[in-house]
Amino acid sequence: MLHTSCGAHDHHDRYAPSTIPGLTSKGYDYWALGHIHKFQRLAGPPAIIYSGNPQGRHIGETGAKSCTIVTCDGDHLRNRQHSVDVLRWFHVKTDVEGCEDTDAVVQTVVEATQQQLAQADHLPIAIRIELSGPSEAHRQFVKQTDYWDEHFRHLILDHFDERVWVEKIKFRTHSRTPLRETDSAFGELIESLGNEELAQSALCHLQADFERLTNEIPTDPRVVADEIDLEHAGTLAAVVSEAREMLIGRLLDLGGDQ
Amino acid sequence: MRLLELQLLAYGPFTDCVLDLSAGQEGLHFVFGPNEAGKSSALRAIHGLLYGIPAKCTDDQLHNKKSLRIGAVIKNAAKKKMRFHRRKGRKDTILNPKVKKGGAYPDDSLDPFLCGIDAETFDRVYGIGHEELQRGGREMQLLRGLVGESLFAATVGGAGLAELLASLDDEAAELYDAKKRNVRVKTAKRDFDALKKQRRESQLSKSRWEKLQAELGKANKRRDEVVQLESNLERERHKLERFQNSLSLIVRRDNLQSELEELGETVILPEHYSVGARGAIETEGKQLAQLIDRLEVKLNGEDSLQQRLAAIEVPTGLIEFSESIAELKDHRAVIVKARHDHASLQRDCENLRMEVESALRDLGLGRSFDEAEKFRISPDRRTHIQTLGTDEKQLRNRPVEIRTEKKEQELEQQSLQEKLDKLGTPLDVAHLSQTVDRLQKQGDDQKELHELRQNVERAASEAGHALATLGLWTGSLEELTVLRMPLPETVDRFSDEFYEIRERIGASETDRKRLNEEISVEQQAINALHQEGHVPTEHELEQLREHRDSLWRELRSFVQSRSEHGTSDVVETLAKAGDGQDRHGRFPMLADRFAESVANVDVVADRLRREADRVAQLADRATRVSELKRQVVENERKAKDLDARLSEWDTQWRLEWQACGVLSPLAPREMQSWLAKLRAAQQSSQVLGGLKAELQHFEKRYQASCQQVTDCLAALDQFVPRTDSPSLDQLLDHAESILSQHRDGEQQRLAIENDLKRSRQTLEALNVEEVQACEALKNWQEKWVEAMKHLGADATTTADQANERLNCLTRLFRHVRDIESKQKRIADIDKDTEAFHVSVKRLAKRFLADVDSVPAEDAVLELVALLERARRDQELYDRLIVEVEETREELEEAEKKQVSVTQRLNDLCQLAGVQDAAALPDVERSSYLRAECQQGLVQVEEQLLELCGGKSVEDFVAQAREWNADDLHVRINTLERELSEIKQQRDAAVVAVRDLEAEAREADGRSDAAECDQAALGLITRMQSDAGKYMRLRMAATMLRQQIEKHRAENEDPLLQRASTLFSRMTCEEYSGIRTDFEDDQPIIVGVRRSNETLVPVQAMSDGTRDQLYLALRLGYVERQLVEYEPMPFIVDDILVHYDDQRSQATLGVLAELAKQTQVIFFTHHWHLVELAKDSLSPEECFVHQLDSRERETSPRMASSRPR
Repeated sequence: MLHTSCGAHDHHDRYAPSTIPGLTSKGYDYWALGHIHKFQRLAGPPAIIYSGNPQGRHIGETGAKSCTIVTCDGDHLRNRQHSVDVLRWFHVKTDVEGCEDTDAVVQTVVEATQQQLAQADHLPIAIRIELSGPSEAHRQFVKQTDYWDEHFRHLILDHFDERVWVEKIKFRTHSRTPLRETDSAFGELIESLGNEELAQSALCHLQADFERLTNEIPTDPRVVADEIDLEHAGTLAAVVSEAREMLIGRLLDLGGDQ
Repeated sequence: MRLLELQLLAYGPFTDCVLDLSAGQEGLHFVFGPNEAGKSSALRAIHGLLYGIPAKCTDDQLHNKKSLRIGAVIKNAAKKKMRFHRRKGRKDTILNPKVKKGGAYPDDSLDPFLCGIDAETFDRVYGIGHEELQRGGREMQLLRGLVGESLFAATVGGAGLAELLASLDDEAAELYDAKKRNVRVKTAKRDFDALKKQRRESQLSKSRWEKLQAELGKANKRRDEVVQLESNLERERHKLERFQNSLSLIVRRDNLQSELEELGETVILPEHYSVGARGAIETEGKQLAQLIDRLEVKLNGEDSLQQRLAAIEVPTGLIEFSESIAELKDHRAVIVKARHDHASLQRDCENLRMEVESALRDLGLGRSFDEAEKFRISPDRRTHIQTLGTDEKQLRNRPVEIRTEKKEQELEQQSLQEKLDKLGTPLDVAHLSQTVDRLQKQGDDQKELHELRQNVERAASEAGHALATLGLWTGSLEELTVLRMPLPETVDRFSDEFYEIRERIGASETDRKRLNEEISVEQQAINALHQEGHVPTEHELEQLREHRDSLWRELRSFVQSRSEHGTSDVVETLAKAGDGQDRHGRFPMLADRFAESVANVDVVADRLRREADRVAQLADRATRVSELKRQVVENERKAKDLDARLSEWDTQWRLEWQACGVLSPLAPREMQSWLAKLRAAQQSSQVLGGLKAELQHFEKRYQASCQQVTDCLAALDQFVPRTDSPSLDQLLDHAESILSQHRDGEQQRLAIENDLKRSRQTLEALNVEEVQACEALKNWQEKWVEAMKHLGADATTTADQANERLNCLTRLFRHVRDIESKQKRIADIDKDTEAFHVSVKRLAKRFLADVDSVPAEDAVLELVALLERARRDQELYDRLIVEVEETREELEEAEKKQVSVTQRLNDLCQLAGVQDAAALPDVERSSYLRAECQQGLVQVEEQLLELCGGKSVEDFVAQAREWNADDLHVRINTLERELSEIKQQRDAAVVAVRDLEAEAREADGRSDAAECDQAALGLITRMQSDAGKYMRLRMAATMLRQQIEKHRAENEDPLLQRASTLFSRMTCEEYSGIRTDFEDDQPIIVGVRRSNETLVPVQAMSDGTRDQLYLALRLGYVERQLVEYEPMPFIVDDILVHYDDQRSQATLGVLAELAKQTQVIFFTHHWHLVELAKDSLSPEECFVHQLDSRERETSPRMASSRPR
């Protein structure tokens, strides 16, 4: 039994690194490995197995979680996965291309959730909904994200009762007919909002405030803080992009009479 | 881009509605539509036309979504036109109207017309409505006239900017604010800290838990001990209480046992022996004996049933005839009534007969009743006569009518013939008509000719202008057209060469300068080295060495010359020289010089070695200088070559151009652009030539056309217009009017001829009809004579008379029929009366004594009375027989019961063991007493058994007898006191345990801790989510503000300047304009009042004025856009609703000015605005169109039209 990082894993600390040939050369019949929270059969025989953890704890630990039962019959070893989790995590990634309006998106989300639920061996599931792709509903989502967040949560509750819990909803949709960054007046405005310099200048202005805010927020290894991790390169880019989408959505609402 | 025509083919309430918007330079077009006319639909249609009909379209009330169509003809700044239809859909929505099906233009085919103006920009910048204007005015107020924000809102941002900024800020501030305490994130953080603290407290230390467990163990033990003691005491008290309760029972038990002994041996009657039953049996026996006596008397005593039966007598056989008697009774009533009817019927018959005879006499058909039968008419004949009567009038009148009609027709024919004669002979216009048709098919030659001439003039002026501005070359346009210029490739070649030479000369010059600079630098360095001190050189060393060597050679030759005198002499000489003896001799001098030279060489060599750096530096620099000088020389040579090439090039260049008439050509690049201008001028000139040729050709054709028409007119000998050279249009109009007259005449002639023909045909038909009518009349008259014979009338009888006669006969025969039926009834009555008498006599003979003396009706009544009596007697007899039978049965039953009662009494005696039933009461009493005692004993023992507590009753009684009642009482009181104390102790112990358990449970906070942990995790997630939202909101707000600032910087000066002018005009110069002022260090827009030059902040302006400010900013921006981009139509939707007439007029003036730069389409449903525009603007500036979906028609250019 060994707590180790065996082989290459991108998202884990390199804790007590080891290699498969290294372990195999020791002449043991079975290696029970810990550290990676996901079932993996690295080699065999002799079997080198990460049993994974018995229960997914956050959206980073999706799918069935299990322990590995190893039976020894003389010289012969058998192992099998045995699910022990009581709740499963899933990503519900939904491409909303082709959805004419929010009703159609709602329908798609419910169907996708239904599919995940069907794969959960009758266990309750926790999901992160991620909407992507071009849609007519995009403007609605960016304009009133909070409202739609609530709406989807209620909707899932209505449809699936307590069998499904929504951890988070990410709106990554975009407009079906992208606002053309033409050289006409509004096009220029849209283009300017996408301007890197503008974003940088705004960031300089806000950096201190953001840092003050993020410093106030406690951390916990079980909660992935990718949304507000200012150290992470993509975080601010995502903030800028989402802010821009929201702004465009709200600006579009201020249009003329026609 | 401008709209030349807008076709609302199938959209909203419209079907095939066309607006012609082509009038004017760009044009201010008023589209007037009253409410419900579909103004809003038309507005949406323009947007849909240019940018596609939206998926959620509400304009499908009349036409379904698939068949929605908007069409248009549009033209862009480059004069390119396009005609297209737009359908609803995602792809291929721009249709080619010339192709029936599937003819779609590519989706981007409008791009050359929109030139990058997207839908949003079109809506925001090029459209303004009443609502937006009002919101904009409010927006100006909310933004307090802040320059950046106001400009942004009025141009691209849209009204509502202030609210948007505020909402972004407020939403963010709700989530987080570094300076505030009660914001979501901070509240959550406090909750999180509290949860963390709670979790820490919930986690228990091991020692405390163990201590609590130990204390809990002790408390449990103590509680158990006390409970045990309490139960012991409780047991004892319970036992003593049982003894106490059993004492009275024991005494009672003893008494019962002694009573039983006293009773001794007594029989106990069995359970089924009942004292009550014995009494009942005895009573029943007595009642039965009384009943039997009563029944005997009823049956056989005085006035008994048997005696009453014997007294009844019924006549035999009468009852069997009861039915016949009843029938006779009914029959009698009928007979009585018929006797009355008989007399009245006879009277009626007589009356009717008299009436018939009177009628026969009136009709002249005889006197007797019996003669009537001869004139009976069958229904067929009656119908026949009536039909003939009906036809009479028509048949008699018809010939007269036909004769009248014939006369009318003859008169009409005469009048038509006169009209036809008046029309005269028709002209032969076939040739003229063909000519006119052909010329019309050719198109509007006049207009084309005019356009062509205009085009020629325009082209000539353009070409002339091009030629005039060309310069460098002089000549006519014709010469220009055939002028041959150097080929572009040649000019390019010259240009390349020229610039290459120029570049090289430049490079050479630069090199020269650089070289000279470098030389001077090097020279300065060398001078500096020299100034530091003399620098030995290799060359100097070389010279010194040569000098040394020459001295050495001189010295050696000197020595050799001496050595010829002997070696020793040399040595001596040297020695002398060494000793300085031969100081003034040649040798010493030479040797000194040689030595000095050697020393000098050494010094220089040493210095060369010692100052090697300086030496090398000097040498390098010297080498460098010489190299540079060489380069300078080389450079000068090259420069000369280049100059030569340049002059050669110049000669060639001039020669090339002189051939084309350009005497002093400019530089190649200038000449290239000149050449482009020249080519443009040539092209214009060529275009002009082409147009002129076309014009010439066209004029010829035009003249030929005119001649043809004139010839045709002359051939017809028709009046030709009086002008010397009438235009083709005039000729065609004239020809058209002749043709039209001819057509009218022909149509008239044809109509008259048709009428005449029809009239003749009618006359012929009338003749035939007349003959037929006469024939029919004759036939009828024959039939009528025949029919009248049957009625006993002559042929002159009219139809009405015949009808009257028919009616009289009908009435007469109805009376005859009545008489016959009444006579039959009288005969029937007689027959029935006879039959009644026979029946009555037959029955009366059997039951009545004196039959013959009594009339039949009375005999029937007597029979009825006799039958009634017989029936009553029979009923009484039957009833008595039944009663006798019942009484006998009752008597038998009572006797049987009496036997059973005696038997049951005997059985009871047997049970009690006695002979006589009289002894039974004593036995019963003693049995009862014994049973009572035994039952009491059993009850007492049962009560004792309950108190025994599991022991036998005898043992318990023996133990209880040991206690006396007073001792028991004392002992029990003592025990109760002890128990009360023990209970208090037990309660205390239980409370102690419970408290400890609660403490332990509270301390054992593992699940609480986990719950706190979960809640804390939830809070972290929420805080992160809130923080994300906060960052997005803040980022959005900041970006927007920066954008606003950028927009301000770019537009402020020119836009405010222009808006100021427009604002002044729109407010009828009440304000002289706007300018910027400062409030809290921020630039704001203020109005300048003309009267006293005071500054009016936006908040202090009236609503209307604010609206005008917003509009002025927008129009200023639109004008700026028009300069930079493709002009788009500016769509205005009733913005003047709240303006007074003066300001409305001023604003219309501003719009009319804008309409000179781009098309302005003004939708309104206020006719007075249209009137206002017509009053204040010239007819060339403003065009009015009426929109009414209900009428489905439009009147293009209806400057004078009124709404219906």
